Amino acid sequence: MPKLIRKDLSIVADGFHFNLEARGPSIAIMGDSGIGKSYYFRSMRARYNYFLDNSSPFLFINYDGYTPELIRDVLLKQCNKIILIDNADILIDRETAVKVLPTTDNQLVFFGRYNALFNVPNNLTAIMQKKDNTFYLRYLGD
Amino acid sequence: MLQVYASKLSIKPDDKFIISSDLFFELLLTQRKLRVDQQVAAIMKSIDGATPVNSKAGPYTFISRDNVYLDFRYLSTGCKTVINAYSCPKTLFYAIECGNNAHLELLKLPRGKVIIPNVPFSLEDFSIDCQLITPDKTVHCSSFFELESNWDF
Repeated sequence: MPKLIRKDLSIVADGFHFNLEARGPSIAIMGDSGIGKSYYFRSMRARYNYFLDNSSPFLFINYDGYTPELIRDVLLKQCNKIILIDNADILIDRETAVKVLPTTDNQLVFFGRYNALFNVPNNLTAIMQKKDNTFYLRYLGD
Repeated sequence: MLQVYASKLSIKPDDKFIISSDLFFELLLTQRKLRVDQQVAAIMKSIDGATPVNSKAGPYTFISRDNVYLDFRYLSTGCKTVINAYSCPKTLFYAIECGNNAHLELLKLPRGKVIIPNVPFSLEDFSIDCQLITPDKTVHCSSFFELESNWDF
């Protein structure tokens, strides 16, 4: 089952502070279009995706070459990674949601709108917000 | 006129639609098919706070709300979806990756075909000109509240 590997997912990029905290092994990050979700995803990928020897604690999934089959494969074969999935509403299909997400040994961060599909409860679902140069998460129920 | 399909159940079984707005938008850019008119500029401003500019860096450049020059590829997926729907009005787009703000902008379009999986939310009424297609009925709506009241939950 998903596990919490790193609570602090903060990063500074282009002068912006992303103060993001993961409160559980799987979180869903939502918010209006243009608020900065994909910007955060790209910033994290630019920072952590350069490890050629697979030693990066992070793994980034977006359209670039990933099919639902490949995503299932990655989620099952990788372990102890923090996997960020952008456009998750499209990339996570029902089979992945039902058969794979509950069994993966990774921490999961979804960028999408249907937290029920990702098996993420409301208290681990957050809206990304921005104040001045700082992005932060406001969890539902806070 | 804009055609709004309330969920995928409202389309015909053999109707094809675009699910990946990012990739479709990329295609428009690489083929230089995207025409940046006033409506596109208004969409960018409203959703992403972006202003298109003519730049030496390329034809598809904008200034972000934080005064950074960026390529159009850095627009949000929601913004790309709305621009796609406006620029290719005969193509059906699935707006699942749009936030509520982008859904509301979609409804303001004068033309296009979109599937919106959930009823958008707005406290304020505004005029629209669209055909709402649900699994049970097709109705013309001239205001947001009218569309909301006709949406099958």
